[in-house]
Amino acid sequence: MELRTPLGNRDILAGDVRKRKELTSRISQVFDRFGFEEVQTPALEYYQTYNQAFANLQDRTMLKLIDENQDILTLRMDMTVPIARLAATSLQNAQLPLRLSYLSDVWKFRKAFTGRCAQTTDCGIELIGSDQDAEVVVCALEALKACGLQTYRLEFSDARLLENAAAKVFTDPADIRTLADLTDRKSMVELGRFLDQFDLPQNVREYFIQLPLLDGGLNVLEKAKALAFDEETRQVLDSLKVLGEFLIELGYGDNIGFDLGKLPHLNYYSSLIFEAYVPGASGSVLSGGRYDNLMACFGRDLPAVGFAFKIDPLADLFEMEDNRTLTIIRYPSSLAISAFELARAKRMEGSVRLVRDETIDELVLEEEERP
Amino acid sequence: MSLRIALTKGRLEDKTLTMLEMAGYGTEKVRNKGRALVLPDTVHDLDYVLVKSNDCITYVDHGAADIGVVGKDTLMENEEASNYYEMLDLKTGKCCFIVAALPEANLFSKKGRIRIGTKYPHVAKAYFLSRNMDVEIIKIDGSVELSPLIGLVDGIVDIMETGSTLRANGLQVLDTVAEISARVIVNKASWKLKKEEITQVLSDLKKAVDENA
Repeated sequence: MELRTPLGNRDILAGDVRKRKELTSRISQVFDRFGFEEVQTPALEYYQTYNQAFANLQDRTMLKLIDENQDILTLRMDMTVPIARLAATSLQNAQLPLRLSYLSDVWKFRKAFTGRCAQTTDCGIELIGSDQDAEVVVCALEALKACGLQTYRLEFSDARLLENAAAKVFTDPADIRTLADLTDRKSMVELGRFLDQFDLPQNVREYFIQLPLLDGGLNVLEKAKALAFDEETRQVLDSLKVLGEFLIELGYGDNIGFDLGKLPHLNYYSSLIFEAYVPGASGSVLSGGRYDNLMACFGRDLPAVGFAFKIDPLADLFEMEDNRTLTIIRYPSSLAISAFELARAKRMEGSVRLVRDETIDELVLEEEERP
Repeated sequence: MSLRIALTKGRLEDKTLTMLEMAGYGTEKVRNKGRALVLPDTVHDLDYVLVKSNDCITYVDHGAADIGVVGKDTLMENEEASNYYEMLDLKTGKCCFIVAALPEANLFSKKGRIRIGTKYPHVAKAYFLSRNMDVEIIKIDGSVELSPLIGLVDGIVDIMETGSTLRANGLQVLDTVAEISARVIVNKASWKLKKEEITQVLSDLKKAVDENA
């Protein structure tokens, strides 16, 4: 028998555990100050719950098991779906809006030897039953600040920027999916070739080819508005501008931006989407958005918005002072009572370790650095 | 903020360096590399690493390199990496993915399951899936052209530059799966956080592409 952890899983040692605890407690404290209540859900969900939530579920990344009734179970792959299920069941009579937060592990299969973990920690909030975005976005910005990062950028887009415009031009859903995929990956070469297959008016082609590159400050919203060929898209851009100006007025201008080519990777996002990037992490460390249609999948038609931090990449970047010491009390058996009494008193201030030592005839105190 | 560029060794190496030189970059240290592995540019504030094509994607995907130059063939075969944007076609190192077989194999009219040998199982699988054909893919690491000649497979999916090896062995090109050329990929977070520097490199390279055209 080889002694090892399963593929994509790992042990976390003392120093890293302390870092993760400190990081998550800072984030959780921000969530608490914004009036969100922490809940926990089971690690296992019915596969059916996820299947109900997603139009096209990427189910090969899900870890599945079978229960005694032959129902398929899955280790939760995100926290938004379990929270939505919770809101539609246990909390169906609670006062709206629901303000829920969580700190939980989620699981996804990863290809071997790619350096990615199967079990990761998410820490986030969900505001269910409200159509207000600003407070949740501000909460994300405050939580990012609380992580102690020097530089971070929260960037916004809207799922409808591509959806609405594409629906006006393309009829085949497969074409819209291809367009969305190429846009999201900023795959500029293939995007150009894809658009060339259709006989599109110049302004329409220009909108789709420019969208992935519209990435920057408020000015990109103006550029997008000039390129937009329908009124709905202009309205979406206006709502992003209102949000951007609001955040700038609140003093978050240095940490926000827009990437209008960003598309939701989870297809329950319906309008506003946002992600945060920090130097040193290769992908986003926070992602979220508005999902106004997900709750209806669970029989409760409510608007909702939320986001989650990816704790693992953040913990790798997180720095904190961590030089802790421990008092060692050496004692001979004859002085056991007084050694234990002294230890009890000293534990009020710090950590104590007792070591029996018959070679001495009095108590000896030492300081030791902890791992 | 300084940039790190991962260049693919081998077939694309010289072509990529030539384009960088056209764009005014100082690649002498890459040309005369000796044993050094991280090679600074002599003009701009950036450095290069020379890596195998699959590793180029891995380094950029993890953000260890900000920019990578890699063949479209490798990108197509490694679909699960997702932390990068594919932003520019260098229009060099051109070749294509083809399907080839011996004429008597009647690959596309054969009934039942066919066997395909390839170095690129994902690309081959996706191609035949899109044609609703029942295939068994057999991964070959060395010379793929050999596999149909001695009866291991019915046909192959492979990269073709000139087609001379195929012709010399009596293999017929039946279809083009995709056109291939060198692409510039950019790590997502680097694009967000070093946008100015990266945009500069991309526009320099774009000029070189236009000059070549």
